[in-house]
Amino acid sequence: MKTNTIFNTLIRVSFIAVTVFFAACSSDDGIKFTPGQDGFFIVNEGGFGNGNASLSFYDKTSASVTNNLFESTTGKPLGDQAQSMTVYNDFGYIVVQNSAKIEVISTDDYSLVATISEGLPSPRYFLGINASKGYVSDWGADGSTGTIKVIDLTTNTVTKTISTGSGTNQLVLVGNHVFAANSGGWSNDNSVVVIDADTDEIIETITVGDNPSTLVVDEDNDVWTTGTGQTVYNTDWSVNTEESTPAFLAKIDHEDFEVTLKIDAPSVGMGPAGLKVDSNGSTLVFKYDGSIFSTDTETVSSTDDFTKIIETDFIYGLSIDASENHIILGISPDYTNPGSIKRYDITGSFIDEHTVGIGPNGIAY
Amino acid sequence: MRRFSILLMYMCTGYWTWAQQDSILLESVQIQSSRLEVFASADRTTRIDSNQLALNDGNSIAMLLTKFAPLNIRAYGIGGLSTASMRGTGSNQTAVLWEGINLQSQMNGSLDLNLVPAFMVDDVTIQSGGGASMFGSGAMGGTILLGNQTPAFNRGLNLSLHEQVGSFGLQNHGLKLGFSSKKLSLGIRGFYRKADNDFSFYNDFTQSEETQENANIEQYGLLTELAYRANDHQLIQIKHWYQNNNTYIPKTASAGLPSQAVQQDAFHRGLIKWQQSFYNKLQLDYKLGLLDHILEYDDKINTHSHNHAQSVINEAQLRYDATQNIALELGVNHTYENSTADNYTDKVTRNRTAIFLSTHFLLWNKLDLNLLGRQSVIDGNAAPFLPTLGLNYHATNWLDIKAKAAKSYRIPTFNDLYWSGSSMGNPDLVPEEGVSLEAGYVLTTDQRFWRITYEGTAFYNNIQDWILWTPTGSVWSPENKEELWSYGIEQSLKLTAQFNDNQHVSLNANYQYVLSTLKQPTTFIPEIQTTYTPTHQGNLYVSYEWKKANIGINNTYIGKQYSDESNVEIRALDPYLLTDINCGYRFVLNRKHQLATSLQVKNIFDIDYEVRRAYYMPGINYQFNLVYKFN
Repeated sequence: MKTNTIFNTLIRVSFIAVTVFFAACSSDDGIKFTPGQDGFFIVNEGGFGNGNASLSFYDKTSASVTNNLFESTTGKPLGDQAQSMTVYNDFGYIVVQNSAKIEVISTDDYSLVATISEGLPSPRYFLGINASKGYVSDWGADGSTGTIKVIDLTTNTVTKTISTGSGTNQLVLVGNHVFAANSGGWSNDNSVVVIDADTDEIIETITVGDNPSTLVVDEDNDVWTTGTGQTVYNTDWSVNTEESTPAFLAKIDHEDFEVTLKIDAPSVGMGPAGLKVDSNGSTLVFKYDGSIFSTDTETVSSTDDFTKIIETDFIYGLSIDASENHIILGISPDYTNPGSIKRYDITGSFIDEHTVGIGPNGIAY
Repeated sequence: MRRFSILLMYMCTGYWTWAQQDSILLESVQIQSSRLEVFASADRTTRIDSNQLALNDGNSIAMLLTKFAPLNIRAYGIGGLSTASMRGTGSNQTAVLWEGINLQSQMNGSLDLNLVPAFMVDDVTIQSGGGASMFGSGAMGGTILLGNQTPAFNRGLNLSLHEQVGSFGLQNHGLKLGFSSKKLSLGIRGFYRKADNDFSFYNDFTQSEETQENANIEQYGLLTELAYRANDHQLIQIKHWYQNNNTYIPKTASAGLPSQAVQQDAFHRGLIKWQQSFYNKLQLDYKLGLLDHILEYDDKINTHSHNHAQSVINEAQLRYDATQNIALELGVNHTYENSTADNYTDKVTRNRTAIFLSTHFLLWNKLDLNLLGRQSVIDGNAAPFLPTLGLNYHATNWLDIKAKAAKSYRIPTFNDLYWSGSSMGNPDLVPEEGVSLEAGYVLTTDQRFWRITYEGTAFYNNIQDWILWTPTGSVWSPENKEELWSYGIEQSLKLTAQFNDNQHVSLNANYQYVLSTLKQPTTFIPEIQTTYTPTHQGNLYVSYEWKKANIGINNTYIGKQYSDESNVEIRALDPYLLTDINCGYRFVLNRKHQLATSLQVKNIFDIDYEVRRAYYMPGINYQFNLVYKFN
C-alpha cells in the first residue's frame, strides 16, 4: 500500500526534474583547476529512494566512459539522489541529497577522502570559497528551510549555518560575494541572496521572480538566473493560470545587485531552466520548451532572441565542458534504466553518445 | 494419510484439532472447498499445511508464504509492503481472494500481505498460473486463496488463547471463541499485535552498524463469523473482519534523514453467504461482499494523504453435478467499486459485470477435462473473453500428466487511470492481456507408512500491454507499452513417513526456476531479468515428531536479484539462504485443557541480507509461542 510513497517518489522526481533540471558543474568556479582536459565526471542521480546513484568518468584520451566509479573504487554505494559534484582543489565534492551527505574524493586516484554527513539534512550544491572554506546549499529536513552550510575544508566538517530562504539551490562566487538562488524547495521563494564570503553575512536579498534555481556568471561578471515560476493547481488538479507564474530568465548586476533584465516565458511550465554559460561567458545555453536553446548575453531582450540549437528526447542534465566549449546533455529515458551523455559543440552539432548511469544530471571537472 | 494429519495436528498448537474435528460438513453444502479440485484439475495448487499455519499464527501471511509457498514475496523490509510475485509477474498480476472475494485494491492493484495475520485465516491455498476464467481480473501469474474454516455445529463452547513474544519487541495476543448449537454457530477471534522491529544491521551505505528506527507496527483486528443452518440443504453465513494497522515506515538504508512516516490502514470486510442445494445435484452459492478500506499516509513533513476505497461485490454461482463425470458451474459477478484520494479530481467509480462458465468432464475414467470461459463488461465496454482449457490425464495410479492453456487479464487501477497533479493517470489505458501455458506431472505413492507427492511444471506466460509509468518530460504517466515474457520450471516434493505410533517425519520442498523479462528474449536465458525476480528460489521444511514433542527446520533460498532494470551487477542483491528452527511440546492437562508451547529461532546463522536494495533484515531472532486451548 505504498501508493503514496511510490507516487510521492514520482512526484518528487518530476518535481526535481521541473525545478532544478540540472546540476551545476564547477565551470563557474574552476579557476584553480585546469578545466576538464583529461575528461570529466558524470553525476548519475539515480531513482529517488532506490539508492542507486552513481558516478561515471568520461576519459577524453580513450573517448570512453567508466561507470560506477565511486562504488568500485571505494567499495561503498554512492547513495540516494546524487544532486551534484564540484571539483575544487583536487578534491571532488559529491553532494548526495537524500543520503544527506557529501562524499569527498581525490580527483587523482578517486579514493575516498572524507564523508561529511553531520549537519547536512538535504544538501544540493557545493561551492569552494578558499583553501579552508566551502559553502553548501541545503533545503533543510522539511525541504523548505533553506540554508548555506559553511564547511571547514581542512576538517571536512560543518562549522556554521547561514539562514538564506527557501530551497536554497545553486551558488556562484563573484569576487568575494556569493550569490545563492532560493528555489523554494518544497515551498516557494522569489529571491537571490548575496553573502559576503569573508563574514558569512547576507548583505542583500534580491527579489527576482518565483523560485530562482540556477545561476551563472557572464564575461562581465554579471549574474544570470532562471526561475521555474510557480504552478498553482485548482482543486481538480487543473492548472490555475491566474495564480501561476511562468519561468523566467533574469540578469543581476553584480555591483549594485539590481535586476537589469527579466524575460518571462509566454506560458507556464515551458522553461527556461538549467541555465549554463559557454566558456567565453557570452552565450547562455538552457532548456526551453523541451529542447536546448541558446542566446547572447549582450543582445538578448525577449524570448524572440532564444535560438533552438538541439532537439532530442529525454533531456535531463545540461552542462558545458568549458575546456572544449562543448555542450554535454544527460539523457534519461526514465529513472530505472541507464541514461547516456550526448556531446555537442556549442552550435548544437552532435559529436557522440556514451552510456552512463541512471539519471545523468550534470558533469564536473 | 488421515492418521498422519490427525497426528500432525495434535503435535501442533491449538485449535487445529478443532478444524479437523469440525470438518464434518453439511454434505450437500460444500461448493467452494471443491471448486478448485473440480474445475481446476490441471492446475498446480499448493495448500499450506495446517500445522505450518498454526505454528506461524503470530506472523503475517507474507512470512508464511516466504517459508512454505512456491512463490516470491517482494517486501519493503520487515514490516513494510509485502506482495506476492508468481511466475515472474508482479503483485498486480497476482489475485488475493478471501472467501472468494478479491482483496486487491482497485486503487493500486495490490494487497499488502503484511496486513494479513495468519491468525485471521484458516486456509491458505496457492493456485499457480493464469486463473482469470475462474477468478477474474488480476489472476495472471497466480492466485492466493484465503479462507476461514467451514462452520461447525453441535460443538458447544470452545476457546483458545494465543500468546507470542519475540525479539525486537514482538508481542501478539490472540483469543478465539467458538460456540455452536444444532442450528447456530458463532466464532469470534481477535488479536492485538505489536513489534518495535528495532533490530541492528550493518549498513553498507554508511559502512557502519545501525539500529532500525521507525519500523514499529501495531495491529489489532476482530473477525466475527455467524452461521445458521436452516436445514441440511441451506447454510447462511455472515462474516465481518475489521482490522486497524499502524505501520511506521523507516527510512531506506541509503537515505540520510530519519523517517517519521506512518501509514494507517483501517478496513472492514463484510460477507454474506447463502448456500442452498436442491436434489443433491444442484447447488446455489450466493455471496455479497462489502469492502471498505481507509488508508492514511503521513510523512510528518509535507505529505499527508487520505485514500478511501469501497467495493460492493455480488456473486452467484449455480453448480450442476449432472453425473459423477460431468459438472457445470454458471456464475455471475457484479462488482461496484469507488475511491477517493487527494490526487483524484473526484470520487471515481467503476462497474464490472462478469458471466462465467466452468465445466468438468471425466472421460474414459482417465482424463479430466476442464473448459472455462469468462466474459466481462467494464463500465459498458466488453473486456477480452477469457477461455481456459485444462487437461489432467491419469496415466497410472501413480502418475498424472497435466496441461493447461489460459487467457488472463488485469484491468488498470484507479491510480493508473485517474491520478492527477504533477503526474497524470491515463484514462485511455486498456487491460493487460496474458496467455499462460503449462504442462506438468504429478507422481504419487501412497504406502502404509509413507506417502510421497512429487510435482513438476513447466510454464510460459506472455503478457501484452503491460502497464508502465514513465516520464514524458517531467510528467509521469502510465502507458500500455511493455510486454512481459516469463517462463520456467517448478518442482515440489511432499513426503510424510511414520516409523511407528510415536514417530513421524514430514518434508515439504519447493523449487522455482523463473526467467522473466520485459525485452523479447532472443536466447533461452534472456538478456535482462525483471527486477526483484530471483531466477532460483526454493524452500525446504523438515519436521520430526515424537509423541508430544516436535522439532522442525526451515530453509529458504533466494537467488540473486537485480535491483536495476538494466541488471547492473554491482547493485544486484546477493543470494541468501536462511535457516529457521522450531521445537515444541504439547501438554495435555486433561481432556478439556491443553497447552502447547513452541520456540522458533529465526535466521539461526545470523545471515546479513537485504530483501530489497537498501532494505535490510534482522539477524538471529527468537519467538516463543504459547497456546492454551479449552473445549
